[in-house]
Amino acid sequence: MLKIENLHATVDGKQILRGIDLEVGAGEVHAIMGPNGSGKSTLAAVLAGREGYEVTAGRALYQGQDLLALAPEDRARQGVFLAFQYPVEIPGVGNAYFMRAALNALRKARGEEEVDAIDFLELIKSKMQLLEMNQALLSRSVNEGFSGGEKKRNEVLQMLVLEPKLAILDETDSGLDIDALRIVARGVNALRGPDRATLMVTHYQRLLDYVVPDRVHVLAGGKIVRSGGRELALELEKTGYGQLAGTGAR
Amino acid sequence: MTQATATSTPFDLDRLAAPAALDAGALGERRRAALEAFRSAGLPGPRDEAWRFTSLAPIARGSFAPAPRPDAATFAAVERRAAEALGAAWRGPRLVVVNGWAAAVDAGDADGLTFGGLADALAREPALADLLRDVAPEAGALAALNAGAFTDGALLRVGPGAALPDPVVVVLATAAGDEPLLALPRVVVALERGAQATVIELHLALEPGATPAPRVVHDGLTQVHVGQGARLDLVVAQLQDDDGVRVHGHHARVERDGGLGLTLVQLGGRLVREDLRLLLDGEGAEARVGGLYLAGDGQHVDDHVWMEHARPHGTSAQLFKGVVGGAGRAVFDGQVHVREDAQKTSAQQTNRNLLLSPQAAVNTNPRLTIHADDVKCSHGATIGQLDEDALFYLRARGLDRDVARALLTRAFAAEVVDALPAAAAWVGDLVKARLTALTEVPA
Ligand SMILES: Nc1ncnc2c1ncn2[C@@H]1O[C@H](COP(=O)(O)OP(=O)(O)OP(=O)(O)O)[C@@H](O)[C@H]1O
Ligand SMILES: [Mg+2]
Repeated sequence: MLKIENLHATVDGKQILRGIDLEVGAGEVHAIMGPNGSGKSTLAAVLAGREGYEVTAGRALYQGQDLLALAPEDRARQGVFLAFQYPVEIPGVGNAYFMRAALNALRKARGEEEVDAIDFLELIKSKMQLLEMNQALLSRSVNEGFSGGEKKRNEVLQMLVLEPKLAILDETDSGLDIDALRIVARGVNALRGPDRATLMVTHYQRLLDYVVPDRVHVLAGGKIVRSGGRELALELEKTGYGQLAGTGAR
Repeated sequence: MTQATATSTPFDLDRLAAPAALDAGALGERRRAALEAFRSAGLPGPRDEAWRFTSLAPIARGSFAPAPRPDAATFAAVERRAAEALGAAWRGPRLVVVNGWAAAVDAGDADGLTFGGLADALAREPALADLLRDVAPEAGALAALNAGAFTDGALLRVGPGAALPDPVVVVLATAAGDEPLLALPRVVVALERGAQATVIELHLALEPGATPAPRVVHDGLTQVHVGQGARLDLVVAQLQDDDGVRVHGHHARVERDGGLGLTLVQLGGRLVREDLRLLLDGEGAEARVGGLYLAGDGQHVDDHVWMEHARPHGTSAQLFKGVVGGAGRAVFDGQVHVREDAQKTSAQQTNRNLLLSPQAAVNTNPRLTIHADDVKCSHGATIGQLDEDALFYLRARGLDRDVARALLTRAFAAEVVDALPAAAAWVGDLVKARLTALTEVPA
C-alpha cells in the first residue's frame, strides 16, 4: 500500500527527515512513536502534500505510484487521508457543507454520483452516532470553537465519511479522556479492512490497547531507529526513548 | 469669501440642460450656487486629502458632455439587465434611471408611498423640493456638481407610519453614447415619522466591459432621510462596471430613534468611488452599515465613510470587508466623529481586507475623532491573505485549490452577505460568482 524509501525532507532549509524507510501493507496498522520534534508530523505532512517541505532525497510509493508527485487534493481523491494533529479552524465554512463537498469531490473523481444534502445528512448522522458526537457540531463552522476532543472526533468523523484506503492519524488520541479514546478507537477500527492501511502517530501505548497495531516504529532524529511488534510500545513506555540508539542524532 | 474664478473641468457644462422645474424658485437658486462652487473648485486632484489614493486623471484628460435623455430602446435594455440580475425580486415598485434620466416601470400603490421620477415629482409638487436638502460643502466638489446640475432621478417618500410591503427598487444605469457622457442622477429617499421600508439601489452599466477610456462618468447622489422612529433598510449593489467611472455619494440623516440598515456591495469597476456620509441627528438614532467591495485586475474601488454622531445615545456599527485580486486596488477611509453633545454614543468600525494576489493592494485608514467623554468607540483594520493552513486542510480533504480558495474567500465575505435582507438574496449570488472568478489562479 505505502512504501517509503530513504525519504529526506527539509523545512526552511532545515533537515528534518533523514532517511525514512517504511513499508505498510494492505490490511495493516502501523504505529509511529518517538520524541517531540523527531519529525513525525513532518512525515505525515510530506505524505499528505503540504507545501513548504522540500523532499531532498528518496521517494514514497502509494499503490505503486509516486505519491509525492501528486497535489494534495489528488492524494485525497486516491484515498489518502491525514487526521491533523492540530485541526484547522475555518470560520464561515459550515462543517456539514465542508464534509459533503469533500465527499463529493472524492466521489466525482471516482466517477460516482454526488450525494445530495438529504442523503448526506443521514449518512453523517449515523457516523456521528458511532462516535457519540453532538450533532450541533454539524451546523457550526469547521472546527471553530470546538474543544480539543471535539476537534479530534471531527477528524475521525471525516475519516469515516471519506473512507480512505490509507489513513494517517497524527496524534488523534492526544488530549482525549479515556472514554473519548475508546470512542475514537472504535471509529478507527470501524475502518480496518483487508484493503485499507493505517499509520498512527501516537505518544501513548494506551491507544494501542484499543487499536492493536501490526508494527510499531520509533522515529527519532528524522529516522526510524527501531521497529518491532506491539510489545515494543510496552517496552518504550517503561524505558522511554532515551535508551534507543539514534535518538542523540538530532 | 471663495473666489468665483472658474477652473477648467473635463465636463462641458455649457451644454447642461435640466427640466425647467429644477431650475425654478429656491431650488434653482441653490443649484446655481452649487454649480458655481463646483466651477471654482474644479475636479479634485491628488492634493485633496480625500483623493490621495484615487486618481481622477483618467477623466481629467477627457471631455464629457452632459448626457441627454436616452431613447426608449436603451431604457428597455436596462430593464432587461435589471430583471436578469434581480430574478424573482424584480417586482413591486421599481424605477429605472439611465444616465440621470428616469422612466417609471411600476410606481406602486402602497399606502403612504410617493414614488416616481424626480423631475416629474418636482414639477407636480414643487414643495417636495424641501426633501432635497442642501449638500454640505465638505461633501466635495463632485457632490457639488450633482447638487448644481442633476438632471433627474428618483424620489421616494413614505408617509408617517406607513410600512411598505414590498421592497422598492431603483436602478441607476449608465449607457455609453456617441461621445463621452456625464450622468448626473439624484435619488431622494425620505421616510417620515414611524415609516418602514426596504429600498434597493442597483448600479449597473449597460455595457460593463472594459474600454480604452471611460465612456461615461456617473456622478450621482442619494439623499436619505430617516424620520423619527422610522426604519430603512437600504441595499446598494453595484454590478461590475469597467466601462465608465462611477462616483456616488449616499448622504443620510437619521432622526431620533430612527434606524438605518445599509449594505453596500460593490462588485468592482474601472474606478468606483463611494462617499458615505451618515449623520445620527437624534437621540437613540442607530445605523448599521455593512460593506463589501471587490476589485480585480485593472479595477479600483474606493469607499470613504463619514459617520457623525451629533446626539446622545446613538449607536453605529460598521463592518467593511474588501477582497482584492489580480492587480486590483481598494481604498477604505473611515471616519467616526462624535460631537461634544453625543454622550453615551456607541460606535464601532471594522475594516478587513483580503488580498488574493501579490499585486493586489489596499489602503485603509480608519479614524476616530471624539469630543464627548462618555462614549464607547472602537475601530480597527486588517489586511491579510488567505490562510495557508486552512487552504491545505481543505485540499487535503480533496477540494481543488481553486475551489478551496473560493470557499475561503466566500467565507470571508459571508459576514456581510449573510446580513443582506431577504429581498436582496440575489446580491449574494452575484457576489459568489464574482468571488469565484476573482479567486481563480492561472495554473
Ligand atoms: N516550518 C518550520 N520551520 C522550521 N522548523 C520546523 C518547521 N516545521 C517543523 N519544524 C521543526 O521540525 C522538527 C520536527 O517537527 P515535527 O512537527 O515533525 O515533530 P513531531 O515529531 O511531530 O513532534 P511532536 O511529537 O511534538 O508532535 C521540529 O524540530 C520542528 O521545530
Ligand atoms: Mg507532531
